[in-house]
Amino acid sequence: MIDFQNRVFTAFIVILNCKFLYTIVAKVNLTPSLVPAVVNAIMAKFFVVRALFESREGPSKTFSWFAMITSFILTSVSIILIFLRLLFHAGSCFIVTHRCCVSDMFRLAERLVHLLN
Amino acid sequence: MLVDGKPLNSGFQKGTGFVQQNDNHLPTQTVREAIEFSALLRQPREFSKAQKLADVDYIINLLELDDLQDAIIGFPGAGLGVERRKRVTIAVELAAKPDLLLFLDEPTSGLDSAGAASIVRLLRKLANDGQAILCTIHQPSSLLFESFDNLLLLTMGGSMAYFGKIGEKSGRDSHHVRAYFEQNGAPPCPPTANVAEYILELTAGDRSGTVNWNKRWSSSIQAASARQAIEEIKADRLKHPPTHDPREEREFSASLSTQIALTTQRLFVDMYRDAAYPYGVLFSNILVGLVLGLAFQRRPSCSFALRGLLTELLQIWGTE
Repeated sequence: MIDFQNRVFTAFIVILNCKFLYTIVAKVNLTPSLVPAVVNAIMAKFFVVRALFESREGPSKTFSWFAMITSFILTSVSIILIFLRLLFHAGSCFIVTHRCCVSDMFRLAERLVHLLN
Repeated sequence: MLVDGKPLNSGFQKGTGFVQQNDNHLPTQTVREAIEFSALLRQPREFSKAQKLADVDYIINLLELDDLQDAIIGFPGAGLGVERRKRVTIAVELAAKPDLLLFLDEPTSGLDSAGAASIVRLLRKLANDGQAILCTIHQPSSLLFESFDNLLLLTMGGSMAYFGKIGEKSGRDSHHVRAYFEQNGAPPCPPTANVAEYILELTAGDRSGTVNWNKRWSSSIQAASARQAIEEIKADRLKHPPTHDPREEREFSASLSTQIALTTQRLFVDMYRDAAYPYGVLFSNILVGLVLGLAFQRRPSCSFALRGLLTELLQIWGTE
């Protein structure tokens, strides 16, 4: 069972990474995956700022390529850190406040379904 | 090309502004933010921040952007209109303090007649304010054409057909251009006709005939006097002692720390206003967390099993 879980997880990771790689290298969507919305959001943001840099701000020496990439790294890292803290907090609150086991949750879900029917 | 009788150096790039034909801006910035960003990064670092921000206020006022200063620039079609975007582009370039020259690449293209008139009126205002402006223009109406002081007319292939004053006084007539072409064998221009159209038809249109306007210009009295005037200016400027321009020594006007601080600040504001990327990150974090949690759920939590889990993790990363 656990072996099966690992295989599924590996397939998921491969699809996820292929999506990233192919979108970055070939700029076309070659693999179907779960995350087009995520990738498109990241790519779109970078492309808009890079296009602006290449057409106007780079040639007019407003700021350097190094500054642009650094700003992307700084914003991305801080966004990840903020969400990490948020999700960790939410997760730990969930564990502490819900002391029931999985079977309890199932029973709860069954009762809910029964109520809805 | 010479500036003050000396060849161009790297200071020339910082002393000029180039208003591109397609108005490129970050869609989430407001008008004031875009102008401030340009002023803080492109003006020499010797100026204080207060001085630069005072310049921004002045430029916003000059380009009549007061009521638009907190508007989001947006995309073409969803945001500022074409003429307003053009004004923002001019303001962004002006914020860099182009003390030598402001280039404009077809500023009236794609604008309606009212928009074009408004842009040229603002350029006239800037010129009266002491700003040197160089502008390419196609098919101008006579009103726009007569707003300019001097004309450099290029024929097909880029050779010169006329260089000099348009009229006695800008905004009034185009007497000089008209007189030059009429003296050189062109059919007389009717007084009500658009002089810009008249000379374009003569030099590039069907009525150009056999006259080579480039050769005729080279041998004309007007060309000779223009050349002489340029030589006089060159000799006059060379007499001045060379001025030291600190901008020549640096590649970027602002220091690297200022560049990083301002670009990062801009990107944070951009991410806040257009939050698809942060939400994408949040979404993918939840998704990956869920998948990881499900893949490794119900593992015994002794250290031996943990080691097994670590090797499995490494295997998974290895197979990527």
